[in-house]
Amino acid sequence: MEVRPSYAARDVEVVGEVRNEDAGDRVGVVVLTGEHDLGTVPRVKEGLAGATAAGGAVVVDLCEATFVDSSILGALLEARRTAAESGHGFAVAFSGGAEPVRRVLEVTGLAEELPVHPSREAALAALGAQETS
Amino acid sequence: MTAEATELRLGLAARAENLALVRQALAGFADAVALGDGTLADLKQIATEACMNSVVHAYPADGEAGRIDVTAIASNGVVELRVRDWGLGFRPRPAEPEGSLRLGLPLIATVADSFEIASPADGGTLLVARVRVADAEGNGGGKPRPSPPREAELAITAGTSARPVIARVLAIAATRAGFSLERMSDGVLLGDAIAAGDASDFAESSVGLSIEECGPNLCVRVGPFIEGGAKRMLDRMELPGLGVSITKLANRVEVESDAAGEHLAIEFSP
Repeated sequence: MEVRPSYAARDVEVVGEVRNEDAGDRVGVVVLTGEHDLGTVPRVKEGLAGATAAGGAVVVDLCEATFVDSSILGALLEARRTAAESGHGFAVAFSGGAEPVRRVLEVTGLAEELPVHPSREAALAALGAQETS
Repeated sequence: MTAEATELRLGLAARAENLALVRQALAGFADAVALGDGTLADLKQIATEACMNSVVHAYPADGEAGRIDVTAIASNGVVELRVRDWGLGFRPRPAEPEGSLRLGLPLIATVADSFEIASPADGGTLLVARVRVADAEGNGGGKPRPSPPREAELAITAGTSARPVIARVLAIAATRAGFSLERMSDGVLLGDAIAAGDASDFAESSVGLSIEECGPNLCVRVGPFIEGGAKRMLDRMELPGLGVSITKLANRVEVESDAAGEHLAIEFSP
């Protein structure tokens, strides 16, 4: 078999990171980068809990995520339910970069169900519209 | 993709942190056999969900981690993925862990072209999924889907078993199309006449029937017949005891012949 000198095209960020950011105006943003599965779901849930506990709307930014499995989707739906119960908005941003993320959102129907917006700005704008309507 | 089979085997402790390792091994495998991004995405999803099932359900949470074997075999345009554990086996689970979406298997079913779960004799669970390969440009992958029938189609072994099936299906189709009771009875008679046909006139060992609503009418297509078989059936379609030909009950009866073989097309109005 040919030895390939480079695998740059698939050189994905393996370790999934979770970051909480404050977008102001009582919106908490949870940023997921890299790959996320059962191994990182505790950290994802922690990040989501932090954002919902802040008492405002929640945006989950998946633009830099390269993989999510069904346990992560479960955590997102749970966070959305928690936000809805306390009367707050919930939105997901995904710009369509990583094929595995795009595919799982599409085949599960969650792209429409969550809903998923094409950028963090669009998700924030949608929440703004929700909160004022 | 290489012509000969390329096989990857992984043995893992059943722990969540090993799921990323499986995906990276599959990414390398995808590079080695030149799989497209879509195929790799599907393989990663299937392997992750299948291994997660083993991690969460196969082995008791308080025990030592069990073993998971993952095998990927690429050959002839298909990648077969096998995930095997030696745990508690596949069982109905009335209570799912909190937050579980029960999405794992449906997800696998959605992205795989085929998959099956087996309970091997020596215990545990074996999941086998196959994905047709898209090349690096994304051509050729995805599930092939048969074209839908225009309404419904059935095939039943020719002979006595055909009669009750065809009669009932035609009756329900006629009811749905708003046919009167009398016309429904004609439909049942038609079914009987078709079923009473000579099995040797059909090109296959079964009687094929397709039904569709064409405007207010019901169009029934019977076949395929061997050459001349449709005409012979038509000639024999003198309804027993009534002395009435099927051609009198139907608005249109035609023998159609094309690449799919010879068929009898019959159109009824309510």
